[in-house]
Amino acid sequence: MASELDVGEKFALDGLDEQRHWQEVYREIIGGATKGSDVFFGHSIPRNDVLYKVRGRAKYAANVTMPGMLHGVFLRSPHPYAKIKRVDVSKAKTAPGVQCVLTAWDVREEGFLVGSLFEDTPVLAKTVVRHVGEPVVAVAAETLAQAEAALDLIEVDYEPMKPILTPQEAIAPGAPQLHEQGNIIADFTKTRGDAEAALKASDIVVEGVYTNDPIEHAYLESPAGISFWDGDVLTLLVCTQYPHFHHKQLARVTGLPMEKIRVVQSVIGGAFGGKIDVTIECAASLMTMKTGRPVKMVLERNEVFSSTTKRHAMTIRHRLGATKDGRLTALDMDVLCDGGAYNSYSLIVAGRCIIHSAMPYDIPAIKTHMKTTFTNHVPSGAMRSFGVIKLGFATESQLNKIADQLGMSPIEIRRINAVKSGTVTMTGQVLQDVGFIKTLDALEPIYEARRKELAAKPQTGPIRTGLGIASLGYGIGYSGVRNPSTARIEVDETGLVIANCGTPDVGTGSDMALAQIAADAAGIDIARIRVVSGDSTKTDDSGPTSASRTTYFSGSAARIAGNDFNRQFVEALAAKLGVSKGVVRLNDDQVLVNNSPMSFEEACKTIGSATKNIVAYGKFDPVNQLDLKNFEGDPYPTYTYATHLAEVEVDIETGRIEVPNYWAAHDAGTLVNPMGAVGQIEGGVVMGLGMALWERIVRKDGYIQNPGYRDYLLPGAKDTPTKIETIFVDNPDPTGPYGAKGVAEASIIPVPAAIAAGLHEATGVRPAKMPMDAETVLDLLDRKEAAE
Amino acid sequence: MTEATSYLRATSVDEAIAALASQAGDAVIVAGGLVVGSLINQRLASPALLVDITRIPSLKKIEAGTDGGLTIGALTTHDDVLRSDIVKRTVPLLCEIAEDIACGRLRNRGTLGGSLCMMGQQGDPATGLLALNATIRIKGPEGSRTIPLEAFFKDAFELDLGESEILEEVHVPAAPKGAHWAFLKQGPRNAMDFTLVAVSVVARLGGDGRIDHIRCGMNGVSPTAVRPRNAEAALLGKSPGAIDWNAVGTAFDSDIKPESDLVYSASYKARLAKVLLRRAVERALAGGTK
Amino acid sequence: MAVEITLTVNGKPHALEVGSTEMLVEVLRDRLGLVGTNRDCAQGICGACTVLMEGKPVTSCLLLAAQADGAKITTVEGLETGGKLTSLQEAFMRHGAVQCGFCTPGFLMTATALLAENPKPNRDEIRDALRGNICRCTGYAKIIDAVEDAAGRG
Repeated sequence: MASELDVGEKFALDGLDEQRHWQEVYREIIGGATKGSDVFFGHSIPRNDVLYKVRGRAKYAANVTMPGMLHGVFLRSPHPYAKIKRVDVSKAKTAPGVQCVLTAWDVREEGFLVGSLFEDTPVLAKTVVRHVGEPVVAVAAETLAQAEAALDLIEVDYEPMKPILTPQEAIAPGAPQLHEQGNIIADFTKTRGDAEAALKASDIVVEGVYTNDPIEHAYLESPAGISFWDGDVLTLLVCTQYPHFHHKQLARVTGLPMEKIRVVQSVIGGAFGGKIDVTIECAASLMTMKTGRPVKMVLERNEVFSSTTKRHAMTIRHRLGATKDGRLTALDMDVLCDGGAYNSYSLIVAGRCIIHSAMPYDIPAIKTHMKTTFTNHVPSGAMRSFGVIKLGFATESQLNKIADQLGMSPIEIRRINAVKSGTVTMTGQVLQDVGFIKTLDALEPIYEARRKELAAKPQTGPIRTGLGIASLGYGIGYSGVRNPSTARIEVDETGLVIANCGTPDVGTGSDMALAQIAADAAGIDIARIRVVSGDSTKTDDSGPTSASRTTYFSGSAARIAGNDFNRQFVEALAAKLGVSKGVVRLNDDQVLVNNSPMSFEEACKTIGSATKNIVAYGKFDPVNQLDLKNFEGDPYPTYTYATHLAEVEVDIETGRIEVPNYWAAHDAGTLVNPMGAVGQIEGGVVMGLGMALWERIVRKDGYIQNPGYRDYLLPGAKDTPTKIETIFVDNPDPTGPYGAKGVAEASIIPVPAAIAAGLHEATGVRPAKMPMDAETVLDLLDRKEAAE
Repeated sequence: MTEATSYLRATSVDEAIAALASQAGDAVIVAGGLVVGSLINQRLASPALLVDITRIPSLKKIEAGTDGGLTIGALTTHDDVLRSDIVKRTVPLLCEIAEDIACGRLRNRGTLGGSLCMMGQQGDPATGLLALNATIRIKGPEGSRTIPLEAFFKDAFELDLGESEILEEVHVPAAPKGAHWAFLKQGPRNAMDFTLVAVSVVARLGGDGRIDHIRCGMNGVSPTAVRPRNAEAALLGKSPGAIDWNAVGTAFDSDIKPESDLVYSASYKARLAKVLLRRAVERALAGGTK
Repeated sequence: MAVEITLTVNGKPHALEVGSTEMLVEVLRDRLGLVGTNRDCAQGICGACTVLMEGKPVTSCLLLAAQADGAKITTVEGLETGGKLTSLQEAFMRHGAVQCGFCTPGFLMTATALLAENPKPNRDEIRDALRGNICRCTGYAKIIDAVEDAAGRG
């Protein structure tokens, strides 16, 4: 397809000519990164896209303009729950500059409902609105100001209804049913043995109720996209984690055949699970179809708060039993979860939480139950760790409680109960190559040494210091369903190698990791490889970039494709030269024919037009099946593990917490790009810190009270630990590409529990709700004092 | 609103005043533009006229007075204050406060006058200026008047400032000889250095070792920045080792009217304020900044 | 109401007619095509829109373009010279200081101003100078590393 989108690097605003010079600059910069090594894997190679990001030439969707482009905006529901009696757009249609006013009545019936897992969400609301911020009308005009002005001319009559604001209200008898399926999104139970009897027989049982507020992804780039006709192909450039999903969905929404649609990922300004559902995709595309013109839509930040998915608010009732020598005996966990107004990824979150109930511990008796309901809040959805961070907060805090009551080291109690290679999980999976205990071993000397140092410091004044430990085990990939990833590698006569990879880079640098793996497997220089990902017409649907699956799944596919490329290339060259393929080798970017060297370019030129026939293909599709009814089976091909140590300082007069030092020991398999992996961990730790200490969506009567960064408090540079030390234990995963597995999400999981444990060691109080803001901490200190 | 709003770049205070007077309350002064810009972006403000006062040279001064005090023009940015040798020499407390305001890019635009004229909660400099007994000069169609800063803050959304008046400058008198200063604040987090509660204290020990001068300024605990007069009275005449902080706290409770926000309750703010007040007084009495 | 202004952006003079309530970031992005300066929160909190005015970082989403009349503005596009990156830009690449990159231009401008004033800042000074820029991806450590390294090389 001849399109501007195909000229040059996908992440740069400039065309190929502009980029040539900068590609040379890039080569110089990466030149030193692999010095003295003949492989790219395992090196901290700076990323290609970053060159354009530091120059201000990155192709974020909001930065793209097109001739004749219109600007689109949404009119959104002002009510948490209301019937729509009338929508009158007549005045808006004739307003200055307005080219299109789109209502639910303009959307074909077959495409009226959309959604990630279930098609339950109207493209535009028609008869009912189920949350504040739900889109009702879309307008496209010549200028943004004209589009916004037209919104004021739209008349919508609502009949407000009493909203459901908690899961308790949703399951109360006589509650109004928000959807045809009722008010229940998920209701999962899993048992192993007789947890109740095991708890009774336990020497020690700790109980707790753990809660959290909803959290905003707070990616810095608001959702944005631009739709346009590229010839007769409806094309959408959009910041998304999953272009193939939108491609399929748009086919249904627009009625166009699949081959007349293309969804291309723009450079994406952060995602974290928040750019996986529908935002502007359908409305923009439909308005392009109506007007024939490009339509750009960029959400305002307050719209992002009011209309995009949130991390679930959960209430976790938790009982954990142990013997007096610290062996865990039983777990009873009951979770009630606010899913918001539509399904989104709530079911996946619930499933993953059930599977991770006991992780990373071997607990013989388990009863775990999770119920997620609809409410009239903005939908809850996917966010880094799919809910497991909240389980981690509960389980790790409970385990620390037991350790304290038994006078055991928090490291030792984890070691005693850790899953190991050969451990059978509660779903019946036999774990392999488990590196969890290695993370404990790695942190133990640091923990002991720092304890001694802190003990030697006199604690005077209002500041108290404590150390806290928490761990995690996290499954890589989708939960219990096959989720293959693919890669296709091609080459042209000039020696340019294109690696088409199924999962898009969402800002983490996964394209670079895939290039490193593909280059090593193909035996060529990484600088030759251009990774194409995030284009729904160029790659197979390999699922979204989520669930920490890209390195492991797409990396494995890239490795298979790279090996296949090497084989096909050698065969093509041998055929062209009329020699046996046994005398041709491609290794370290060097072609050898009967031991005489030939450059890669020369070889490509020799193969000539037959390079077209080299289409290397890799597919990675581990057999993972889980019976989602009784949660039996092997939900994930592998797991990642970690243990974190937080040093916490508390001002006991103000309740204020600081975290001056932080250590994170991870089993992430072999590292593809250590700099990238460390970056994922540091970023996850700070995001976890935000959730632990400051971040919360405040809601009242269905309305978000703090829809902006003034009142939604994100951690800044001065809030972060002075030192975050990341330690990777040596534990290659034989099932991953060159021993690698995922790392992106896991680092957030243990952070709140580690901080809570540090707070406890410092002051003796145990928080059970997030965020642990200064007032919450001071309240706990007061209550402790009153109790004494 | 772009089309509807006029813009005037005033070159003198009188021109600005005349422009304000001509619009009968539908004009807004723009200095650093941080508040006005944010309101415009959120479509919460659409005045008929924006009066840009940033090109009025007379409002941009920092001058040492003959009395040992200091006069600061309303347009002086927090960054100007922070870097001013004159301020550093005469009232370093103001530099200390400026250093903790928001962040560099906001200090570069935010002005002293703007922070004093903010409704709801004045910026941190107000605390220092209250503790230093500052006065302000205001000019309007009727001419100039000088009032104590304390009298300027009337209520949450009420300043002693007419629709056509402009805050011209702040005068900081010389601090009592031998006095020490301290400034403390706590935000909801460290990023951006937002303020939950801030306190400035100017205090002096007399020859008998008792407090013979104390003035404080606080924000975050009342609808405006306040001077906790009852707490000051409870501290005056006490020797540092013999302060009854419970009594000071009780007196302080009658000085303040904290309000709950989205995260923090009124009672937490009152408590935090007492802790910060105590620490600031102790720090000032121990030598603080001179 | 239209206001006539002149701006020198990255060394290039411009004469423009701007709206009375148009912000500098809109002029840079929509009129001059300098889209490297990102706009997001529009409240002055995130720092993504930071540019230099007369060498000092300012929040371009809160700055009326009319108020910038006559000013020298530097945006992220103005950092590179003659096809070469600044040592700070290179350090951001080498240290993994960039992930999604949306905050990067703001950080680069803030750090550029810091290094111009204080060529050898220590880590605390760097952290303090960067306190008004939000990054959601990196956790800040690598950004601080990059600034420290650029200072060392500069």
